[in-house]
Amino acid sequence: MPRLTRHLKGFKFMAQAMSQLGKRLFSSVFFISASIFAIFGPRWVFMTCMLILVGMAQREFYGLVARKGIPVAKEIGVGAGLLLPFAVLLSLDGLFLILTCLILFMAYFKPGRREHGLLGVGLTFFGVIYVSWFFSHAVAIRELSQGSRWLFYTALLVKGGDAGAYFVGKKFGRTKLIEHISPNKSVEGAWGGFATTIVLSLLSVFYLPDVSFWHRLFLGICIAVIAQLSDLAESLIKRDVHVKDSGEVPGLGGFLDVLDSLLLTIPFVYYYLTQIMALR
Amino acid sequence: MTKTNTPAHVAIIMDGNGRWAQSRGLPRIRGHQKGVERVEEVIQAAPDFGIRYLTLYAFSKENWQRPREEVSFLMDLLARYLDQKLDEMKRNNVIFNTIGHTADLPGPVREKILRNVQETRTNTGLVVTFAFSYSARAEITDACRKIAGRVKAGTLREEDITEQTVADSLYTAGLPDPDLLIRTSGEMRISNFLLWQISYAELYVTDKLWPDFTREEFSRALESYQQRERRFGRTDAAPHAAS
Repeated sequence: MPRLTRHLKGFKFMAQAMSQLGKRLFSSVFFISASIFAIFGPRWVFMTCMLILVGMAQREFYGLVARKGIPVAKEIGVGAGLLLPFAVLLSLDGLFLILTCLILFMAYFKPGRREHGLLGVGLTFFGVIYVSWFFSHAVAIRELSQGSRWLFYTALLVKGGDAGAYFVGKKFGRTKLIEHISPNKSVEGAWGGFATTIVLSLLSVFYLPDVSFWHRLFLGICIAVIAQLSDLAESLIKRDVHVKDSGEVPGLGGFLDVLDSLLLTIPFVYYYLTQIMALR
Repeated sequence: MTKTNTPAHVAIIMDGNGRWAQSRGLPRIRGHQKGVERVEEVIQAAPDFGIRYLTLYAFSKENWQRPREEVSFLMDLLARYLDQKLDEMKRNNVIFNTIGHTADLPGPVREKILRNVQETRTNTGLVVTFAFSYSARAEITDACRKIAGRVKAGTLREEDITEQTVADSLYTAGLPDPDLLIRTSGEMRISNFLLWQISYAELYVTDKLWPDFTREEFSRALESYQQRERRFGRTDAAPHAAS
């Protein structure tokens, strides 16, 4: 009898786990198909998806900041964040960021807001940079020769690495990676993600045939490292404000959680392609 | 892109194959292979865009100074291209034409060129002119010799030499002047290409390397051309209006 109950308990646990995984799978399938359509489809579809992702993720970011009791100029921040992808398209993002900063300072000139000038301006601006500007490099990547494929490559490596880390960590995870920042990550999972990303990079030869083995290997390693650090960076922010998920996307946490590992990776890939591989 | 005001004659300096390959960690010859694919693409696209003449700077006289393996690879590539594309050119009604000192090319390649010229001469579609072992200065010098020869032989009087006489003595005799000159890979140079003929051509320089010069990039260049106002040295926007 005790054996049966143990079995039953095990089954119940499995069912619970499955439903969580099921939600995660459902959301993932939705995001993957939408992303592929956006990456390879017409430019306006891509820009629309950019705006939705940037807008939602930045709102979540300011939501996290609000938990710290710091009054950010959310409207200006999100507004600037939504215009930035277009500024990147015109290669005017530098000027645009300067103007954003100026407008933010002006907003904090008001008598009631003055006390929070430094933190308010600083964190609002950081939200624009960290979420919108970093992610907007995807627009610039997509405009390069074979840009859609390179963007697909970046997203596949990063998200594939995330998935690899998740599944390897779930099965073999024993040693905590960095418990005080992200308690559920394991060293084994990190290696799993690392290996998955590199393998995916080497396999890119099937859709990006004109890149040498060494570029694929080196860029793969760089992306593997940066994506995981980028992931941890967002965990640090969440840890600071004591939340687990940045928002409410079933199974995946929030929009910011979906983007986290991409945020620092995308600009890096852009500069690797344009500066080292001289892609135009 | 609209079809009005399309250039009749487009000349292209196809630059950047080597750089394209090197920056991707590939041997230079891979860039040339990719470059050939783009040549096919622009030849196919040109009639769709309403272009009648396409002149491609394939190999300059100065290019002989490249590493010997690269040159011999290029010659092999050219020989194969001439064999493989003959049927397609015939099918697509393309007239194959060359300018430059083709005598510098290896014998077998020369024969293939001659054959392709012969077999496509009765076509009526796009005229594709490849510049092989070409130098504009050599072309003008050759024209001078030709004219001097006629003067010496007494068939041409010195005072009858006009701009038209010179134009008719160039390798490009019979072709209209290019309306648009495209150069890839961001270099702001003419590099000894069609110096006489491009006097009033619009210039378009793109940062894209030649292996990245796709149909879309080609279309972008033509759009840029269409937005320009050509004045041929005059002040009004209607160059062909009687003045």
